[in-house]
Amino acid sequence: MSFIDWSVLLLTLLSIVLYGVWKSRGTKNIEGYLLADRQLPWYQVGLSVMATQASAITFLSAPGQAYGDGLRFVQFYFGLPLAMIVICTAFIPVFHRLNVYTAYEYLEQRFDIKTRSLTAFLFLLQRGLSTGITIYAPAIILSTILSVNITYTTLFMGGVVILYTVYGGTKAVSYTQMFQMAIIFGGLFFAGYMVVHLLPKEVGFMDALHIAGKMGKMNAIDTKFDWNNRYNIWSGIIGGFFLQLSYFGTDQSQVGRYLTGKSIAQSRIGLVMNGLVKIPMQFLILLIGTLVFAFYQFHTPPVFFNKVEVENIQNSAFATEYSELQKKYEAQQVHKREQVNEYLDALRQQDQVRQRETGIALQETNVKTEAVRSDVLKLLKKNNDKADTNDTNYVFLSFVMEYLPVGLVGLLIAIIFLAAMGSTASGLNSLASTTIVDFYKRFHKKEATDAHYLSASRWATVLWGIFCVIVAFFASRLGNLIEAVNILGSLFYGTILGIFLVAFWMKKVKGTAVFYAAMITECCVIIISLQEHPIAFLWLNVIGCLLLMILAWVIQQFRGSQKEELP
Amino acid sequence: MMQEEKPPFLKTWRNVYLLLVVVLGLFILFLYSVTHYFL
Repeated sequence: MSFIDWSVLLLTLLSIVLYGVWKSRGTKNIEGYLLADRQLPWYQVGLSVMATQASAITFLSAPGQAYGDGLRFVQFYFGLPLAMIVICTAFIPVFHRLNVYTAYEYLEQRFDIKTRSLTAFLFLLQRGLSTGITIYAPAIILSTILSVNITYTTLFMGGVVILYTVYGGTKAVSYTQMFQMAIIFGGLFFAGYMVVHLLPKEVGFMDALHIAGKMGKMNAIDTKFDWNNRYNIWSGIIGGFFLQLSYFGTDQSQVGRYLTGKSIAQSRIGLVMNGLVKIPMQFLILLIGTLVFAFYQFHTPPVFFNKVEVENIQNSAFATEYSELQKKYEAQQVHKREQVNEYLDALRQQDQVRQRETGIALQETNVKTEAVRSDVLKLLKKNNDKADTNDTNYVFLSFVMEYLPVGLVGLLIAIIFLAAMGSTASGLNSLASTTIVDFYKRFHKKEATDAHYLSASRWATVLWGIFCVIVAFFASRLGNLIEAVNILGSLFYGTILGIFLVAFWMKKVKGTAVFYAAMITECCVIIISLQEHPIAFLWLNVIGCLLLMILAWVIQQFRGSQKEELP
Repeated sequence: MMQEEKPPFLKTWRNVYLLLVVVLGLFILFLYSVTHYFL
């Protein structure tokens, strides 16, 4: 990176962090530290909710996801607006009325302490692991641009975020997220503009989309119903609805964002804003990945984008074999480029027959090119069976570092860091809130001063930060990060959502029934996910939720109308 | 009983939620046409 890029990066990061810390000065109690005194307006709530979900993974991995798999990941978000409606009508009024700090406090009032504790524990496990993955994403960037071992960059990233979150708490997180999102939107438009600008002079935006479409990357909607197909409109609307409902309705990292709203209406409008803006935003991010794919039809891409793995194999006994595959790949890319130009020529002349012929030839060459890449992946594994053969997390980063102009590189890297910080900070904040409110204060220290709880919250943030850094060390084995974090969520969200839906809508079911139903359901979901041909992960949310609701009802029927005995 | 605070636009919450559903539907239609146009 050039001096200008480093300056843009450091200036952007420093000004955001200092602004957040300055705005959060004077926090004296946990109401201020954990919920910003419940005084935030709708636009801050909305931006905070969006920034919490849009981590570095979104900006790093989503374009890579589209580069490899096309636009179909956008279907994953179709359930989100519907989930916002349910949360606005059912969840927000309850949480506001009860004046809770965490979503799980409500469960003790509705059921009993063991249900509250189990749900809070499931949340801590899931969010702790996810936040670790979120720290790993920017660590990859630093490692790539500085050519430093990823262990050290993971430690550095984790350390920076822990310091920032421990000091500032929720207020710092919310205020900085507002500016983060503004910079992020601006940067995205720039990146999109630059990808198109860098295409050859005679190739325009629509041409790029035609090329991507011919090679299957404009596959935004898939209407075919298939349990094993990860992304189609049905899994997106139904499975995605359950996942987003659980994530926004019961995950403290999001509940904690909209509980900062100064009224029910402000919290609601914040979520409505999220529902309106999220899908177009994700579509644009994925579209950038598709445009990067089109760009690489005119500039030979690396056969494998992860430079560390490439270096490993080039220094191994398989170096010659790798070199030959690389030459074969590059030759095919050159041939593909000629065919792309022929296809575009036929398109411009509106010669449909030639379009069809050149299109088919292009698709066939693309298949052959992918086959060579597949051979390279096999070779990487042959050299080292622990090699990371999924390079989608490096595609966008590689493009930015190599092709974008000075200044914009620094800005885009800053965006990725800001997204990481915002999301990780929300995660650590929520882990600390739940630990202190649902466990420490509830079981260990029921009466203490505000200053004591504030100090305990800060310590909890540090300890969870350390846990998340440890998780980050193992995140390299998880493949595409945006998929990994959602697969992880899907293992737990169905059960947690089921508990809350029983709480809201099945008034006759009591704590013990729902507790046992939750244990059985969670075991079932994990067993299903470990099958050799597992069902697409979005459906796990539906299965978990519905199974729990049914089991809870059945168990309650057996238990009858006995009075619950509290432990 | 405390009156529910009205939304700042569209008069009722039902209208606001309807807006969300309509926007979702329109965007899905847009993406469907994009998919088929570039096939």
